Amino acid sequence: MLKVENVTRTFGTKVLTHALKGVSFEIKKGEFVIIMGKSGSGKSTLLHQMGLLDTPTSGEIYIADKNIKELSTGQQTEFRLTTLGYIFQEYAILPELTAIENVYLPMMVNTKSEGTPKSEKAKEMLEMVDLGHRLNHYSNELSGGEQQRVAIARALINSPQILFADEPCANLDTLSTKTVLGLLENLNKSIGQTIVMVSHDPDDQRYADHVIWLEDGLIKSDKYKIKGELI
Amino acid sequence: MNNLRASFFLAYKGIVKGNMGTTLLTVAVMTLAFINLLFLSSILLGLVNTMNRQGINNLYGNIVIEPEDKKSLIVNSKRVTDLVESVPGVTASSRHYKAGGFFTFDKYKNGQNVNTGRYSVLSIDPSVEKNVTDISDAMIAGDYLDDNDRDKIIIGKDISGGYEGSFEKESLGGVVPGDEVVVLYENGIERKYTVKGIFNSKFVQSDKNAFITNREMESILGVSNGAHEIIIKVDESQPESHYITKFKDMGLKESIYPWNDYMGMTASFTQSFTLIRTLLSAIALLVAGITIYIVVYINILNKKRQIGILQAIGIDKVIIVRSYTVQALFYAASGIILGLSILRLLLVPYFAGHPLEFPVGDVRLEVVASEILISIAALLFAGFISGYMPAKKQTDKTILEAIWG
Ligand SMILES: Nc1ncnc2c1ncn2[C@@H]1O[C@H](COP(=O)(O)OP(=O)(O)OP(=O)(O)O)[C@@H](O)[C@H]1O
Ligand SMILES: [Mg+2]
Repeated sequence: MLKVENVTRTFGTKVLTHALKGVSFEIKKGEFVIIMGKSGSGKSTLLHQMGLLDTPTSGEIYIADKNIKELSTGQQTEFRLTTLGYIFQEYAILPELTAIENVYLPMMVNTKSEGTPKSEKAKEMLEMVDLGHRLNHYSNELSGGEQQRVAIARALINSPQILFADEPCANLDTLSTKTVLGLLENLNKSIGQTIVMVSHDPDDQRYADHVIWLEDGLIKSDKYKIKGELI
Repeated sequence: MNNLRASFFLAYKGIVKGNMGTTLLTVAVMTLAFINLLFLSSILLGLVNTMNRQGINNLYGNIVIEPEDKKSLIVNSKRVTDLVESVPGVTASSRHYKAGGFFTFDKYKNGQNVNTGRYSVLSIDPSVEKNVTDISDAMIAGDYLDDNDRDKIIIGKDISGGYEGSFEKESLGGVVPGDEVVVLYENGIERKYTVKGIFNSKFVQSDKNAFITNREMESILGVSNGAHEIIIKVDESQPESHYITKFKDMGLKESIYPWNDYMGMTASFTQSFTLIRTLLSAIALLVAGITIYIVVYINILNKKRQIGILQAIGIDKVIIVRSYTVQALFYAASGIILGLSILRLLLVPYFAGHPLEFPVGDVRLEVVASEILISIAALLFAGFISGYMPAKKQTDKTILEAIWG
């Protein structure tokens, strides 16, 4: 499903920051992966590389058997639209659109989804994240947790093969955090949604079946959970 | 197709959810820019048309026949007028003599307040002239000439003075009908005339002329059945050149010119005006373009993150850029519609009722379709470019830069 081979990412021209220093791992379909590590360890940078929001300095990334390096700009856009879903740490829903319009937009431009009744599907997605009563609200009329759930619905509308989430609960209170994480867990369990989530809260490991620890741009550990034990 | 819909959808939401005040202000600036593009050029066009009309109606008719080369007089002018009037489309013709005259006006007949001036004296057959020029309709005091008048003269308001004309200072200083003026002609003959009337054609060039009858002039010059010029009025459905060719084909040896050959002043005015118009239009367009650019640019600065998010979730750059271009075009189009309405429904009717008074005559706004189309195209183009550029620049940045930069 996803393979990362010796990926590095160096920032800057005079003063170089080596955010990723050669990272390799593999993720299989249906996994709930959590990437853990201290602040500045390179978690977001890694997720950006996999989410096609940034380009590695060196190394290869394969998603759905495609080397993403070999995709044209247009194909990368298409890939982000149809194959990947991305949830940001900060609320990232579009303030000029209502909740349902936010969810609906990626489907509107997706040629592969032609024929599907779009507003129906968008409504279903919002009902799934328990926001059936907030369809026509704008972001300034929604709580942080509600906005993040709209973002989840939006990320899922085109049925992506992988859902990336960069600390989706960092700005949420405990209750909202529980709701959002529960939602992700549910998706993973019920429809087998592959999820790669960044977190710095060790507690979150209980949702995962694959935990990757980053330290200073390198992988410190890469463990699978087997019978409740991380091995 | 869906991409197009998405662009319009995003543009629509951007406008509807955007700041109402900014939108209104932008549309207002576009409206002014559009009016600006057309207003001055319409005034200038009105001015030029007025000048041309005045030249035709008061001085030259449509076509002027002058003596053959090296001759000072058209001989047997009746032959010429009969010939030209036989051509279909020619509505009237009239013969003129011209002479320079040194005018002396002694208002109180005491030799104390004597005003003098050198003016052109033209002679006419008053009843015929009515069919060619508008002088007979322009009398503001006294009466027009009769065919049999001999010791009568009519003078323009810039000769008489007293009407705040453009050349008041150089006038005879307040002649009124019934006053006597003495005219010394170039050939040494001096005549005393009673001023029969004063005319105001509102055209500086003709308001410095004086008219006497042809009979009187022939006695001064000692000629008959001649003319210094014959001016011709035609049905304007055909260009002047058409008639001129006809006249020549019929064997007229005299020199023949269209009216605009005499309007050197207007021609150079028109040229300078065209330059000014182009310049002002360019400035108006630039202002409009820069305004849209700034509005879209600031809008985009505020929406950098949104644009990054749109790109991150896989919305094509083209869709995003187009949505901002559509917004810019919306501002431009609103300005055009509003501007055109104001121009057509308010300004044109206003100036039709309250023409501007220029020394060449009354000037109204003349908006021509071609200018409107050019202005519309120009403003839309400016809108397109200034919406497209900042949006394109922003989407060409990397996504991370857009979201966090
Ligand atoms: N655009 C950039 N330019 C320069 N340095 C960068 C850039 N982005 C990230 N870095 C650096 O790379 C390193 C890794 O950053 P990254 O954001 O991936 O950390 P993180 O693990 O996500 O941290 P956090 O938990 O605080 O979000 C940091 O030292 C950071 O300063
Ligand atoms: Mg981070």
